[in-house]
Formats: sequence, structure tokens, C-alpha cells
Amino acid sequence: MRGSEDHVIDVGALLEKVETAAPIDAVEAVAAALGEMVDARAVTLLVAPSSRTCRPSTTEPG
Amino acid sequence: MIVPVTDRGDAIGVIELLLPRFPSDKEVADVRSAAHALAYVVIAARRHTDVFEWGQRSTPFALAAEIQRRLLPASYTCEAGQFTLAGWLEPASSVGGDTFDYTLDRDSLQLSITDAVGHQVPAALLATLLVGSLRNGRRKGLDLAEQARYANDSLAENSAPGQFVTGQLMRVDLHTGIAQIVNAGHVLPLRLRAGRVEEIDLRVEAPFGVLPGKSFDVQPFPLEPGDRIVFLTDGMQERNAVDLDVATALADSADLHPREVVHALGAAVLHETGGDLRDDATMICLDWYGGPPRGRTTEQGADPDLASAPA
Repeated sequence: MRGSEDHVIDVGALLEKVETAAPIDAVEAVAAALGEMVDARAVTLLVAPSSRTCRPSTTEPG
Repeated sequence: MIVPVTDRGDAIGVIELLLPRFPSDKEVADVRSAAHALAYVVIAARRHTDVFEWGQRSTPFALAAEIQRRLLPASYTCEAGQFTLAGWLEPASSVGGDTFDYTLDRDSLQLSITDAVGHQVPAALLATLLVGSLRNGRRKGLDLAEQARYANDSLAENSAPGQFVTGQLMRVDLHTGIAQIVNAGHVLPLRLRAGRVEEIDLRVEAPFGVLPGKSFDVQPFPLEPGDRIVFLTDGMQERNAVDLDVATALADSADLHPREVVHALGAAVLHETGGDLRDDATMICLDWYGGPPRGRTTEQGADPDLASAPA
């Protein structure tokens, strides 16, 4: 199980993924790596709304 | 599993993972750390793309709202060792020109809340002029009185007669804990101390832009460790929100994080107006802990001692 290893997050590798990706894909790259840590079937980022009159929206990384 | 994506108490979002099994404690801890890193990735990435702005909106912004949004600080919440603050702006359907702002340096916390006269693009442009002059003065190293005078004169010189902005500028010395304030025609702040809500009595001077060359009084602000201070604009208190009892709402939300307090007040004013705000409703909630400048306790981007219990 990957999650049972020490220091699962490799910051250098993570930043490399972020910088390699296009800005619009940077979050998806991290989310995908995050999902791999726990064998997630799906990963969804919900962005907090900027006012109460806006409902939160979702992006579906990876 | 749902994990917060947070930086300094600023709730950027949450990440939801569909897992094939119940996660171990170690996996939960790792994912929380990764979600914290994700907060920084979002902060960096949104400088290059509109995709996160899209994510924060469910309806298109009017031009005035677009201008107004750019006047607000990059983060609406800041947790620090000596304080936590959060701001919130609930825009009216006809944008009213409200703003809030804050900045922190080694010696002081400075914050402002302002309300430009009028509505829509003219109000947003007037607010742009006022906020720009406040930031310009602040970044030139002007003290509070000089910032107020500079903003007042900038407004008077660059806007049409009859245009004005109400506002409050506050500075807290982080070494002494002494706070000072300028009040330019603005709604008085509220203080929650020992379970009791009171309006703080300040001398109210002319709004910015009315009297060219005017000097503003820098008034002492009574601030003690444990105080919760709430700054408002009049959209919280007048017109069709008149029935909202802000003081009661504040007392009822005493146990909440400042971020949750401003959300609760925003929700309350929307409820009171049936979702039809006639004026912007804006607020800043400052929890002052006092003591010397120091770091804070944090876990994955938020202070666990400040977090509310799960709903």
C-alpha cells in the first residue's frame, strides 16, 4: 500500500509535475498524484464560491 | 473521503476522493498533507488562468462586480499568531461599491472597509480610485493620518463633485497591541467582549472626497486580547435588510471561526432580504488574541484549535 510508506509526498516530483503541466492542468496533475496515493477511483476538487449568491462549482481532475 | 484544501485558514475548497477501502490513519494524514500542498498549487496556478474564477461563479458577473472583485485582497481569511481575520462581500444585484482590504508587515496589521456612493460601474470606479490611493499611500510608508489625507485628496482631485466614499482605516501595532482608527463617515464597528456585543463609539468625520485638504483624526481604538471586532457597511443595516439584528447574530455566532462568522452574517442578510440585496453587504471579523508577535499552531493550513466542530 503506497500510503503506508513514510514520506509519501515527494515535493520535488510534485512541483515537477506542476511545472511541466499547463497552468490549467496543474491542479489536475496534483490531484491525480493524490488519488494514486490511496488508489482513489475518482478525485474531485470543489472550489469554494466567492459569494453566497454563487454555488460551489466542481472540477474533475484526472 | 473529503479533505479541506486550505491555506492560513482560507478555505480554497475541498477535495473529494472515492476510495475502494476505508483509509488508514496514515493515508488520511498523507492525503491531508497533499491537499495542503494542493492549496499552494491552486494559489500559484490561478495567476495564469481564469479556470478557478469560473469555478467560483455560478452566474456571470456584471461589469461592476468584475471591477469590484479585483479590489479585494487575494485571500479573504488570514490566520496569524496574534489574530485571525476574515472578510466577506455579498454583492447586491446592483453593485454598490463596497470593498475591504488588509495587509500585514512586521510591525502592524492594517485593514480598511469602504463604501463608495452610488451603484454599478460609477461606484466601482470610485471605489477603484479610493482603494488604489489607500494602497498607494500605504505602500509609500505613509502613516494612518497621511494615508487618510492622501486618499481624501486623491478622490477630491480625480472625481466629479458630489462623489464620496465612506470608510474606516485601522492599524494595530503588533508589538504594543495598541490600535488606532480613522472613521470617515462610516458605520460604527461592533465589539464582542465577554459575550456582550457593543457598538464602539467613535467620532465620525466627513467621508473621503468631500473636503479637499482635510486632515483626519487618528482615534484610539479600544482593543483587548479576546476581543472580536466586526466592521460593517451600511448594506448590513439599512433598506431591505433593516430587520437583521447584527448584534444578536454576532452573539449567536460567538463560537465560530471568523471565516464562518462573516459567512453566517452574509447568509443572514441574504435571508432577511429574501436574496434580493439592494446594497452590498460587507464585513470584516477580527479576532484579536494579543501577546507578542509569534507563529501559530497549524495542521495542513488551518489552526485546529480555531476549527469549529463538524456540522
